Amino acid sequence: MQAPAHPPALAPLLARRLLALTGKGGVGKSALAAALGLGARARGKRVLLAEVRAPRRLPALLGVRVEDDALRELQPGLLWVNLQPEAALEIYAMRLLKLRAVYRAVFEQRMVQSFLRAVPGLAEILMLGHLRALVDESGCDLILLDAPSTGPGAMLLEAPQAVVETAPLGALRDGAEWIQRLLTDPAACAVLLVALPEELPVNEAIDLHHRLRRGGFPQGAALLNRVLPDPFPPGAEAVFARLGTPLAARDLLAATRAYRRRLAGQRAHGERLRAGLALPVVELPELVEPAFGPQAVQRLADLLGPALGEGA
Amino acid sequence: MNLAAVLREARIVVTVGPGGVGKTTTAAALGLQAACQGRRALVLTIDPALRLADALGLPGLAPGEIRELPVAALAAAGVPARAPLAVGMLDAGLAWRRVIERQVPDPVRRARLLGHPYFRRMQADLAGAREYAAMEELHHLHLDGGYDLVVLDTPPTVAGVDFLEAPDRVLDVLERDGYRWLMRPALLTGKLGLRVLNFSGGYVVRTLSRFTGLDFLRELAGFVDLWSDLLEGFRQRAAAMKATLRSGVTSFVLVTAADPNLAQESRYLYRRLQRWEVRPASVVVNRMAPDPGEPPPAGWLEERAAALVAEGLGAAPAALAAAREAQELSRAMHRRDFAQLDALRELLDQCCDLLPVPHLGQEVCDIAWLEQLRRRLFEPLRGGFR
Repeated sequence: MQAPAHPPALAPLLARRLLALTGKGGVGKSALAAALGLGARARGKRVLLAEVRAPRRLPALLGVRVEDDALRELQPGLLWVNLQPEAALEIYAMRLLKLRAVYRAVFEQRMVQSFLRAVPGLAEILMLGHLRALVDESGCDLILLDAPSTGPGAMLLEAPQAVVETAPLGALRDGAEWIQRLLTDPAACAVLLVALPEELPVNEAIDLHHRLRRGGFPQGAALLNRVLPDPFPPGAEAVFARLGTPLAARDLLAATRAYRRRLAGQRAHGERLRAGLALPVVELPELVEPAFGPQAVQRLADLLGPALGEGA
Repeated sequence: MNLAAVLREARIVVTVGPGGVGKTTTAAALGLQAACQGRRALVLTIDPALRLADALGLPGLAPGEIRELPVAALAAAGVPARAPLAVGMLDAGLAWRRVIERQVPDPVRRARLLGHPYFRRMQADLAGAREYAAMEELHHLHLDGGYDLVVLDTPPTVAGVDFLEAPDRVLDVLERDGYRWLMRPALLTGKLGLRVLNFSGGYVVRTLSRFTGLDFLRELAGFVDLWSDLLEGFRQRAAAMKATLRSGVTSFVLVTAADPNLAQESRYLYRRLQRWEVRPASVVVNRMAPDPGEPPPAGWLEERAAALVAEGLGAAPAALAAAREAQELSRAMHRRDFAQLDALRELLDQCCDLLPVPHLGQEVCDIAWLEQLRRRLFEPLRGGFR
């Protein structure tokens, strides 16, 4: 956990418009995005949580049932949308075409839809375009983007630059530049890298850190999730050595050894992450919850409190 | 069919699953099992992250390269292998170039296609192109690679299923003549420009061009024109691939972990597979917390702590209390994981065998650790839960 002496590492990031969470799959990006959303709202922000073609994880984590992907207010001051290329296309095209009849006549033709689906990278641009429009139009102070995991996540963020580099002048390229300006503006946007204290999540976070830096994307902090508590006092090793291998404590000592092995591994990976990133690292503990739902998310939000700073 | 039988008989095994559950390492362990059964297997990953190389302790493995681990090397790491194991990471750009080289006989057209800015961008990792290329590569290696078994590790969840749907999507595009509609005049006249586009699509093309910019459409149409050499072959191979993935030759293995964050995602994947008329042969549930066993008899810890303090070890009470805490926390995690296993079984409609695999205590980072994982998967009595 963040020691109280540390400055609140995440507090300055709440002033930005867009925070994108990415990292290896399964590290808890969605739960942390939801928890950050609760934390930011408790500090007076109107927050939009955005997922990308996801199985609607965030409403489930917050205990809200949703039947479609459209923008809505899940709780007072906490909005949600699941970005989908089809819906984004409609929104994006309507901005250009103005008339719904024209949109229907052209874009709702299966032929045209098949054609557009086959253009690589177009889906990414459309979803980011939708997101970019929401920055201006949703009335939210902060958008938290639960981005896809490492590789696809980086590809999503890099899609606008790819279009800027390849597409000739035109509306599509203008749109990509418009998105790119936001994504590379350190006053408005930051990427948060999420990792676990394990080999591969740390490797991917470090690789991603360099890849995103090359792409010019501002990065705010790393979140190191599911850190096991360390209850052992100094000198514990000598105690266990003296204890020997009594039969009565066979299981206890085996479990302790396994646990301490995991702790040592976690510590080493945490150090590697700190050494590999030029970013503040915020730790979150392992939560042993039978079902990971709204209560666990609220606990995570509480645990993020010191890093988010006062104002709750 | 159990997993060992699947690996004896299938020609293609596709692992699907959410991210971060050890899907790539599981795919590698499945390949290792095939090698132990004497089959020549290739483990192919299309994940943009370099996990397979990490898992096998092969830092020098370059994307696009296929490396063979000979029987002797596997034996040295303690694997009772009877066949070598090949591993490779898909390089989307390289796979595309191979497709072009196989399919475009005319060197001039080939050079124009390979040099087209849109193609260069497509091969440079634009999302979506990767799945097409992976499908081609899998198909090619399945037919012509000389392997008994190709184990394909797909990217996490949504993209992973996108891959399965890539043949469908390609066929959909082709069968609905989306491309042909845009291209036909170009094919007839052999050149392409604003005039031709206007003739072909008229109103629709003009409207589309307001959306994308006319130059974009023109460049894309030029690209599609160059690409047209590939279309018929693509259609045939996509249809063949679709048939192969749905036939008895192919088995799917769903890999997940007993993590409540992942249960819904696993169910979503399972449903997508179902819609695809495929049922996973097996569900591997990785990283289950092992059973930490029994606590010491009541009073034992306090007694020992007092004795050790008397011997001058002042830290003993705190250390032993911490040990108890560690065992109880481990127990809570073990219970949580098994409760999750039951919940997962329900979510998957009791569809298939769930194969719980205990946490290795560290990540797989070389072949010896991969062998540990293989034993936990295929020799549950030796490597099971205590």
